[in-house]
Amino acid sequence: MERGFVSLGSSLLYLQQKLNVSANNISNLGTYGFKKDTVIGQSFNGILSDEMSKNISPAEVRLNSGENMFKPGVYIMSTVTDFKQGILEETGKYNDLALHGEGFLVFEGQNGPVYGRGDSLSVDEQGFLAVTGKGRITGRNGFIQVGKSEYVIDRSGNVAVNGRLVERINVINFADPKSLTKTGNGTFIHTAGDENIILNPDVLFVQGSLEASNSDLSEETVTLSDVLRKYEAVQRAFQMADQIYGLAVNDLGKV
Amino acid sequence: MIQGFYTAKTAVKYIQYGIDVTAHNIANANTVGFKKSTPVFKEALQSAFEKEYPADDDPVYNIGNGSHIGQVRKDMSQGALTQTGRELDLAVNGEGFLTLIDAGGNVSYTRGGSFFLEHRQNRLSISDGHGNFLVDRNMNIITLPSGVKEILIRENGTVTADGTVISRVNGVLFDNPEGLLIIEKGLFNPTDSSGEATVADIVIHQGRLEMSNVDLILEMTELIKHQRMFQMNAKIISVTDELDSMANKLRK
Repeated sequence: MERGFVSLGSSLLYLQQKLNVSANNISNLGTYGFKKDTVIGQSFNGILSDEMSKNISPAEVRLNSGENMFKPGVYIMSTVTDFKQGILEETGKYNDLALHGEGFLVFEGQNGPVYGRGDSLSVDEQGFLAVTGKGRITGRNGFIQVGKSEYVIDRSGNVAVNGRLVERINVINFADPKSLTKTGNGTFIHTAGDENIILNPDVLFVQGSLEASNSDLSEETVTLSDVLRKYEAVQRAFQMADQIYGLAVNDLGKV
Repeated sequence: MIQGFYTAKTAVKYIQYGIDVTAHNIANANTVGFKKSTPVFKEALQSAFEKEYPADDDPVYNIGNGSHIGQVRKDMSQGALTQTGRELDLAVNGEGFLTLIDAGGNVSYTRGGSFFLEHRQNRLSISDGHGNFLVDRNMNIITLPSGVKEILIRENGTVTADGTVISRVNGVLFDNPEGLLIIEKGLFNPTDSSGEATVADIVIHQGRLEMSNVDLILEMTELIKHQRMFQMNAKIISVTDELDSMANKLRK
């Protein structure tokens, strides 16, 4: 009997998470290098048929997944990051770097490499090119030492100081960007194997610009209204189910 | 409460700070030697949620928690130089700072401004009007002969009183001028981020003032941008509020 509640409840939770993701996208409208997220949900039937396509019987599916299996409704499969290019905003500062095209800079983080788009660059104590909070930027042959002088980065990522070529910035891409996990602060970590890495993708380096957030205000507004009305509908259905159960419990046996 | 409520709250709070920065820039659009700032927004950390039915290897999905201001960046770019013709109006053209020292020996740096002649312990020196004196390359306060009629400061900083060279203004450079700390009245102090001052040849213009580097059109677009962002986040707050009220009425 309470199955109606379970499935409606799952839908409420799903819509809330959808709103949370939308709120985060909107919250980061002004964050340079931000990439928006979308929630991917799937109905229970979808999950069931996925399981069944593994050539096992429904009974086995139930056995394999234990009590969890009897929960109809809608469930979150994942949050997917949209890596669409953001608009490049000119800042005119030599230490701002934006990427145009699909690719990521490689930072030497504290626990292995992290990946990210362009940012405001700084120079660490040893004179290496870095981004505060992300780590040193890796070049083709190691870190990039620029010292205290002003540097020039050309379209293909060659860093030059006083007209002398120092190093070329390393940039990579991923065959399946779904294997990247957002860690906040504009960084990603990679969880799949090395075969997923594409070396030297076609990316333009733009010095003196920053990549604006790719969140879309109008799209998020639509999501907002969508979530709001669906939530309302589910709430009504919930109330109706409650009424029906009320009838069943209290009035069915009455003469 | 729904997490989105707090996510939007972070943005509403920090966009307000952003508007404060813009307001400060606009308020100083006509301040001599003013250097504008820009807020830089950063993404907050992610929260992991457990999946009910993990279809792939990853048992969790991530949702962000909003944004915050990572830093307020100073823009040390050159402001326009205006001709005033006044003898003790000084401006630095290009990179660099003038060195000042107060009676207590505290050193600070400035991009220039209107200076005045001031008697200090019976000696005539050049002051910024707030007790800070212009120093020479040996960090001694520049002293002018009393009764001086004409003071000439050349582009390289040499100070001439009635035709005799008496001193040279101490010009300095910083590795990272954006890291300087603004203390007050157009004075800067070095920080760890800016590095120490190094004596250098800078270009000084006498009879000119460096105007504010604020671009009003840019600030207005910034303001509109922030206003829209603020509105949108405020809308999220009202929508989450509505959802919560609906959740409260699930059971009539």
